[in-house]
Amino acid sequence: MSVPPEFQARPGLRVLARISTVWDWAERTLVGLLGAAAMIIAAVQVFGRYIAPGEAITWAEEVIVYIAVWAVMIIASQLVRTDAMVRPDLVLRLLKPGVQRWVEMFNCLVAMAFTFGMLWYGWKVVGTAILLDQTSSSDLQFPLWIYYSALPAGGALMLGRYIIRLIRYAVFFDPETMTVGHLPAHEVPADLAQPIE
Amino acid sequence: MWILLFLLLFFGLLAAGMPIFLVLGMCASVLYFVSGQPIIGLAQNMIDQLNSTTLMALPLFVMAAAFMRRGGVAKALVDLCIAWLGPIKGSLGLVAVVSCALFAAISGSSVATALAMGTILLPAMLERGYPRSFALGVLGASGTIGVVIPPSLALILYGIVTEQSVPRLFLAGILPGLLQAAAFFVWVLYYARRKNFPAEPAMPMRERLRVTLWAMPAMAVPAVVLGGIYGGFMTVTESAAMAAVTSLFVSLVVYRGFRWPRVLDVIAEAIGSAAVIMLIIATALVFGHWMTGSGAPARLVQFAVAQDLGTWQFLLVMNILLLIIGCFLEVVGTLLLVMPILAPVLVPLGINPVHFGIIFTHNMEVGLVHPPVGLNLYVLSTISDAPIGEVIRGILPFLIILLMVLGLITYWPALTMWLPDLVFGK
Repeated sequence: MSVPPEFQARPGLRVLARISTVWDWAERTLVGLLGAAAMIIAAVQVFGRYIAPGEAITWAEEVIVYIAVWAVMIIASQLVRTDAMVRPDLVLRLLKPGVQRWVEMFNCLVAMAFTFGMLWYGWKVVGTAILLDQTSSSDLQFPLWIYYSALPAGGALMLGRYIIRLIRYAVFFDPETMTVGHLPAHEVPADLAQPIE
Repeated sequence: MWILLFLLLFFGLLAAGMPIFLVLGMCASVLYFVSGQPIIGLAQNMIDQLNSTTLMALPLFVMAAAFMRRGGVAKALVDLCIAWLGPIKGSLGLVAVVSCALFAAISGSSVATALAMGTILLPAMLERGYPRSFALGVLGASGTIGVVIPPSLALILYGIVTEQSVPRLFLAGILPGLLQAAAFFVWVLYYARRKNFPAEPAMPMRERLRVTLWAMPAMAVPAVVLGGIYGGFMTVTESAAMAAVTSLFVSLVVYRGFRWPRVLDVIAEAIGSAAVIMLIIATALVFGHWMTGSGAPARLVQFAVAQDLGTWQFLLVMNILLLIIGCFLEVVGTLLLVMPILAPVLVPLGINPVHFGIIFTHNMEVGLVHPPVGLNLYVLSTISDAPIGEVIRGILPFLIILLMVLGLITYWPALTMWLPDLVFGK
């Protein structure tokens, strides 16, 4: 679990670092559990169909969608933190670190606008679904507001991360580690640290 | 006027290095705003686009790949190939080609394949005295086989965007993928002979059989996926889930690459990689939705038909265009940006969308190893500490082969269409 170095250096920020560590852990564990649940539900549906047709469930794929979309929206926050989003950085690479810093801060502001929109309008979508008591058209009649809530939740989590990112670029900018060209964390194989044997 | 402003916004944000999902999301927001549609419709549309059961095959296949990569499956496959190809000159190069093709049939991602194989085979090849640029070239190029050989994430996405059958696309990818592997194989065979690369000592038959048996559980995954889909037992999404379950079992119980406590972590990591793609999908499909409504693709169809281009000319133009785009964007970005516009043009020009899917994905493979921004180039440069120029030099002969195969795929539709037509009928 990584704590940004500038947080470790300043004692006053240790509490923040602690919160950030727990936040990371909570997101990753929750997503892990959701992913495992999706896998298990699908397996139960397939095995059920061929082994115990009487007990078979039919709603697996529908529920997997709800679970997986929630998982995606939660882990999106981690993608912002580790800078793992896909983006063309060809132009950025050509810029000096000082200029990159300003472009990245501009990017953060635009991203904050969009993720705030996800939160705000997503919330309205949820409200409408509750008001109209919308359910899925399948046998399950799943209340759709639960599924829709993933959108504002993802927006809120990413918004938080982009605010932190903006602050990092504005206050704690370090040209050594925060410019592009360092392979983002998700592409560095963890296997390198632990060789496949 | 509006169009100009819009293009400025689009390319401006891309140039600023904004994540693609945000670029598309912002553009869609502006379009909604300008055309007077309520923005809440965009939010509704975004979450509705993700509500697709076929799309869920994606995170599940990525989970399977993550289990496989962490689980020690790559090592078993490499050992299998060394057992049978060892005594041939330049055998480690051949092993790279074949084991990448095998791993591709399990994982569905090119970067994952290059990583998994590179970390094992690169040190081995260097130790045996292979030139580093050759080793990097063969690994980077072979990694791309994963894009077309099923289960392929790119083909699932293509199927969703263009509304084509994913099982049909999977079948269409098999022969072109094998052709590519065969072409690489022959080249390595020839080059190794000319440069007198070393061979590995031959293994006794008993040992060979033991290694083969050891690799069998790894091969269970493609068997489950292909058998499940084409036997008609499972949907694509269910087969993805079964691939994940099987690979988790194989990794934990047979190869023991990681242990129970790490399972949730590996799943979270996999969903992270899938989320990168799915966020782009959510905004790209909203954007594509608007694009279709605006009538731009229809005008493009009229334009393309009015040019009176022959099919082969159109395909040539498309290949060149895609190769150029592939220099700047990776597979998913290109697919989601280009295909919503291009898909309506195909049928009026007499091009089978399934055939075009393979042309498209093969094109993206070339983009993965194409300077200046091929992702595989950077992955290999990172794991080997070699300068990017050395990687490019090594990959050049393979790039030429890839382009030749692209020509074959483009102008010989039977190569792609024979297998799906045989199984599903025309």
